Amino acid sequence: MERILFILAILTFSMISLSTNNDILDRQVLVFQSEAIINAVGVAEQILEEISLESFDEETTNSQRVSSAGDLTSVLSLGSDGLEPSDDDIDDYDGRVISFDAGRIPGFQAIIDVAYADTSNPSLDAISPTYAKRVRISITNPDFMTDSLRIERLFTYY
Amino acid sequence: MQFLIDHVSSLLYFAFFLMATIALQHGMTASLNKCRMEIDEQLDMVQTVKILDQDFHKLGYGTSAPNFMVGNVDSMEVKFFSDIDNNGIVDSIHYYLGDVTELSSTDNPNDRILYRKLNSDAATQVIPGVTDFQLSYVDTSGSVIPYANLTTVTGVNNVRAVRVRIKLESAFMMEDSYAGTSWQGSYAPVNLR
Repeated sequence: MERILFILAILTFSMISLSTNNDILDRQVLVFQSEAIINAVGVAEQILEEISLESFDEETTNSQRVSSAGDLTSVLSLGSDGLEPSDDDIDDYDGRVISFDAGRIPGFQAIIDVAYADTSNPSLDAISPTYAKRVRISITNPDFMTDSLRIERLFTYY
Repeated sequence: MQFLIDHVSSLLYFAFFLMATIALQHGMTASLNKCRMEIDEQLDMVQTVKILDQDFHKLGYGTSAPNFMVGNVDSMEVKFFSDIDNNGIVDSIHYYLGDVTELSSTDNPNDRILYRKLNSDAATQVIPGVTDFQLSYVDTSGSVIPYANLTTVTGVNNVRAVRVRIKLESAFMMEDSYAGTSWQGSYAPVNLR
């Protein structure tokens, strides 16, 4: 009888111990997830701020001006233009994939997407050049984020 | 004899379970405290970044070049100009780290206070517990400007963006390490373009 009671006590204690450890682990995962999001937002904003230093379009670099949206880079040609300097206008970043670590959290990946925005409804992509470009950054981290984080900003020529 | 063995073994079982329970409780408390401290550091970081956002996005607003105070632009401090309250009068905003001796009462040997000083007002604490505060300055090509080039008006006039890296750590150690969080960001205010 005593042995059975002893075994039951061991089992009960083991279950409590496992459950407690599981709770602790869940809390630690949540802490890391929130830290990952803080870092991801910071880096996404950093990328957007540095893209904002670039010219609106290859056709407006070096103080060039365009008088019509049709003079801007065509929709199909958005992306790195292969010209030097390689990153001198906003759409040069289109399709760029950046891997980075932030703080103590490794394994982030940022994917940059640039598209012309429909000026009458900026949440939609335009099918031809306009005076507004939307930069969308999606950040993922399979180990520390349950979902991707997406931040976008609209840049206008004027 | 059997009676004595039963009693001794019962006491041993009791001692075993008591010690295991105390160890479990201790581990759980320490871990929960560390989680709480980590969350506190993250909340502090969010508040700090909000303060930095408000100031750095207005850098250069309502002023003419130079937008930075030459001599106060390096890796651990920056003093810049902006009409921060939009009253037509240019203000100076100075961010700098205090000395580690100011927080010598804490266990953490590296924590410092980040200060913000507006004009000639007394400096106010932005946040204590800063163990890393690194500023770097970027020119129009996206290249980091060497600090040695920021000692002249011509040098600071080349700055187009300010990168900030900050790390906060708890004042006291928990489970052999300090709770902490870090953040990095960049500010490219329109008035620097």
